[in-house]
Amino acid sequence: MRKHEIELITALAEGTLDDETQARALIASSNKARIEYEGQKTALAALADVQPAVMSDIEKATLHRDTWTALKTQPVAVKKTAPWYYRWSYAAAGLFLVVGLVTVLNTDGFSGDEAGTEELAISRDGGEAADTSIAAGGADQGAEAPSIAEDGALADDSASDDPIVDFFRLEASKVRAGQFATATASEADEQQSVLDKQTECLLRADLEGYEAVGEVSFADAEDFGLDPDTAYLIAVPTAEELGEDTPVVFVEADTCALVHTDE
Amino acid sequence: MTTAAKDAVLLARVADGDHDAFTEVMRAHEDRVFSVCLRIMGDREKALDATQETFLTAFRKAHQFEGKSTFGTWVYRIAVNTCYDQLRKQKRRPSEPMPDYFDPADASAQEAVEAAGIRPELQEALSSLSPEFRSAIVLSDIEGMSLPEAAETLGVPVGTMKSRVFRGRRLLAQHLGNQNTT
Repeated sequence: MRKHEIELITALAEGTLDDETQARALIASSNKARIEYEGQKTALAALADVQPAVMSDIEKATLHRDTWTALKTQPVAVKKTAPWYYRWSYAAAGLFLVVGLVTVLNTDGFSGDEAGTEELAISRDGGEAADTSIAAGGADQGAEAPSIAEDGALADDSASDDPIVDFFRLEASKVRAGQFATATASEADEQQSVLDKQTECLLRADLEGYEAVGEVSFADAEDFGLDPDTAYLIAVPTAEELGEDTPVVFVEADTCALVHTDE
Repeated sequence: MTTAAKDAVLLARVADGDHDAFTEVMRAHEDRVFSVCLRIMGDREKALDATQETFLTAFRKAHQFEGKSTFGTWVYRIAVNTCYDQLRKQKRRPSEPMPDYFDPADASAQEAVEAAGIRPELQEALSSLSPEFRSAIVLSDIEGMSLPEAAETLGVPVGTMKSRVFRGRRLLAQHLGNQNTT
């Protein structure tokens, strides 16, 4: 039978045709069509008697109890769709940072030279180590950074126009001088947990082959347009002895974003 | 808020261990899910098992629910697939035959037949159909879903659904006719 004929017979059996003339003519002219029509009518009549199936209250209670119990032992995973403003927050934060940097750099009070002076003020007596808070343990505070010259200029004489870059260079030089703390969490488990977290963060920052040697926040970071509450992981190549040529990387501990690489 | 969005919110609450949300989702769909399972499985106990398995699967896979269809359509599809799985397992492990002393006139058995809301010969005819035809008839002619809705639930084109319903009814009528003539 053709598709059109099947549809006609079905519609006639269901009683949904406005004009039954064509369908009636079809079953009158074809024995096969008539048998199909009667089959459809028989099935529909039998199915029309079917009552809706309902569960008893006891069955429902049992179903709820058993399902809930099973769910509690194996929790549900639901995709939590972040609201649009959350998804855009990273972009907004990046834009804000860029605008902030441009603003800072265009402000007279923060020219490159003055930033250098600021560093001088901090670093002359080694006090910058005291200003650097070590999150995971105590810093070797008070030790003067050997790479910082007495006049406050950076030892490598490579001060950039960007005070933030200079800032991280300064901190990197202190790291190379050993002025950072390794994680000294009180409990071994806690220490391992911190290390695992740091390792995962470095991997997220594509820093395979690096290890975190400390986690710091900089009390004087605000002077350079940075958030003083932001913690940074200090990472160096794994198992490499610290020296003048050691690359030092700073990664934001919260976002695992690579902030600065000093090589 | 759309129905799909409400369903998504409810599912998220279930994931957070909200018992009220869980009860709300279950109550909204349990009768129809059970009905679909009962008509496909043809056995109350197995239908109850399939209903529970359906909700467990739905809650566990809730993160895959994208809201493209309603939660109802999605959960009925899970129900049908769960029943298919159980029927396949049943086929591999045929159940024990009824003992000789089993009396179908037993009051509790009679009660169960009445509670099923379907004549035994019709249930037998329905059970004789392949799962594809059976589910098409159950969704379309027993549960009263529209052809597009039933097609979406089974994940087939509307044309395929029309064909399955037509042929399913034909086979059902043949089976009922044979029963009447014997």
